[in-house]
Amino acid sequence: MNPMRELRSNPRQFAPSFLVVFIAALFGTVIMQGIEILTAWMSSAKIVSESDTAQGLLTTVGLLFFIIALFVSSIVIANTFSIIIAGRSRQLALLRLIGASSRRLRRAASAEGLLVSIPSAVAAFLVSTALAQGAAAYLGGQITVESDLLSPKMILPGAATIVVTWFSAYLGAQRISGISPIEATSQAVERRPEDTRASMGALAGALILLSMGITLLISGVIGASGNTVSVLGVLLVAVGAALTFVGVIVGNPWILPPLQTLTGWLLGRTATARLAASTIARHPTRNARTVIGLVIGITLIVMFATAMTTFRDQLLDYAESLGDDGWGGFEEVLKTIIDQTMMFFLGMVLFSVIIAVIGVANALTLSVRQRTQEIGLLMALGQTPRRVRRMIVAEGMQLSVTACLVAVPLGIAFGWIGALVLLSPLTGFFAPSVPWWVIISVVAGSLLAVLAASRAPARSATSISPVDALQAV
Amino acid sequence: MTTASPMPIAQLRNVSKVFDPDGAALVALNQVSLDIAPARLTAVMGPSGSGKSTLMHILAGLDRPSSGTVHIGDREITALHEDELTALRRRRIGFVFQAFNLVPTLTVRENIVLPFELDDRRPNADERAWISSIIKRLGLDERLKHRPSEISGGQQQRTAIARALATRPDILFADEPTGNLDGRSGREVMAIMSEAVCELGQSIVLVTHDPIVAAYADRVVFIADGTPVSELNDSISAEVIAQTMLDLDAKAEAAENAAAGPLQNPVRSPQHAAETGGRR
Repeated sequence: MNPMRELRSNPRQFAPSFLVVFIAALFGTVIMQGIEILTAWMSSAKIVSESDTAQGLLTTVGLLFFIIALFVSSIVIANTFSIIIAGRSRQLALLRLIGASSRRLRRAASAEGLLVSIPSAVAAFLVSTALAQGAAAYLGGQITVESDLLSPKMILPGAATIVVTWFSAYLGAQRISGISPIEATSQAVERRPEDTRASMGALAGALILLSMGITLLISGVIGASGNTVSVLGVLLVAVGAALTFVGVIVGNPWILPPLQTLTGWLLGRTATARLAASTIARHPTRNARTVIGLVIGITLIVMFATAMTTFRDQLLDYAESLGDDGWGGFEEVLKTIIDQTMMFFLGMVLFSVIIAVIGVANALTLSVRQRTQEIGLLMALGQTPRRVRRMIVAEGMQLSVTACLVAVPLGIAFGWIGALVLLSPLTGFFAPSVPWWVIISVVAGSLLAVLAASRAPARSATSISPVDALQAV
Repeated sequence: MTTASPMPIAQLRNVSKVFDPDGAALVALNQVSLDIAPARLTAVMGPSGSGKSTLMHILAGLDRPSSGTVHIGDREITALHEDELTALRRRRIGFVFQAFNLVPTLTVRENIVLPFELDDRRPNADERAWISSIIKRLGLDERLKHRPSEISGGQQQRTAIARALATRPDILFADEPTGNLDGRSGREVMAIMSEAVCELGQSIVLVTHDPIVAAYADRVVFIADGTPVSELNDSISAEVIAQTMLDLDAKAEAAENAAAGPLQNPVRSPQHAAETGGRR
């Protein structure tokens, strides 16, 4: 219950949180300092008149992606803490028994989050500043205007990350208030299931959000086909997409577990796959939380790629339809601009995907460590280490396949609707151009990353002897 | 009930506890009234499922009765808010369990002063002197810097007892404290418990099913089907306790057989009782 002591006695369980905070803070600080350098560079190159607008635009876009990355980090960190606390519940019950209030224990747990995030954010700030200095030195002669890389506002992303981490750890520690001191009195280690059933509130909220969101999306598309590009239509669709997506996030304890069952079934009927599937099914909401971070990242990537590709293809088709001249060579420029913008967006979202993948790896590692005894029993009963490893890898696969199943269709739909609203007054109704190479690389990339990440916990699970594993409580 | 002491340290009045899983009401305690005398070692015995653990949980403020009142000292704890109960456990109640229940990441010393840390304070000079005297008495001086995993089971249980005594609680609850120990360590632990009662005036409630352990008590209360059915106050010995337990078992089995109807073999139960008795 002393945060420092928890950190010192078991630092490894906090490594992923440290990494997640580092990446989020680094991303935010790099955006701020990058814009500073870019502005200085543009002012030096005498593009002064444009620099204000450009800076404002870049800051807005950068901030938006930073907030997305922060949101994904907060989900990952809250999940990490809730898993750590589930593993510690017996000890926490003992502390409750001998007189610690649950409020106090919860505060102590969130203080652990604070203690992890501060050094991490500081490290991220230092690395980002070093990178920025490097870039400034590289541009050297071209920058004549003073740029201030150490101005107080540069600390803001790091500080925001620290506060978000602190708060997420507190949210993740929510389970503490459900731990009863009586749990410590029984000899039998029968833990209460960690997951209470997904709440009806979440279901109601999700249904309301989804129905509102989908209504807005449909009315936006119908309005757009009526030959007017209106700001209102775009706004309708943006709000509708946001509502639908938040609906999916809120309703994830209801939406994801059935899908997880489905993927478990798809991955095969061998004993290994069935064990993996039943492990996933045992903690449905924990795993739903693990998956949702990945869903956010992949949906955004697929959405931007679909929107941009469809937008480009439709514009080029339209230009072709105008006759031989088309837009007189402007097509090529347009193509390049759109493709580059897309790459820029994808790169920005990639940070969130990396954070989400760390979250999946982390959830696997922690759940394996908490199952030492169970895995020892499997091995004592004759399960080979190889099959235990395969089982853990299968769990990781199941989580990421589920995320892709939700995220890819959602991303294509959002991207397509976005393009429809903007272009259908010009070109009429059209089908989306699905950016297959983006989808394949993001799906394959996240599957491979999770596969690689699940190897370490799989190896550590089988490296101890069954006898030791059975004794570990 | 039979104690002459004017002021019991703990008191149950008409306490019932009904667990209600899916409408099938299970009566764990039925209208129990019980006084626990101060500076005595009171043992609560009963077959498994008799309600002795529930009794202890309610007496210690870990669980709330469905009806009736519970007093610790002069304070009624049934009406207390969860936070007040937590503070009460921290300051006025001690616990010792079968599974030692030490925090593995803390040293023996840190485990012993944990209740003070949870109270956000350091022990004062008086309390420090008291703690070192307990540590010396329990023979833990050499082990203070070790972690629970580095000491024997008997030493771990002595650490748990030291932690329970450190705050000078009004009452100490021990649930099968010797359950995980070999015979000799178990006897040691029970000797320490009786010493705490005789020399320090500690009040202890002990829950066990082992007649040899219960024989250390000043008073033994027998529980069956959620009600105290008999008790021993003097000439307590393991044999007498074992015999009382066997009688209770036989009575329960006879009642079960009667309920189950004539198909059951009636010869089985006395024979079974004789076998068990022979082993004691």
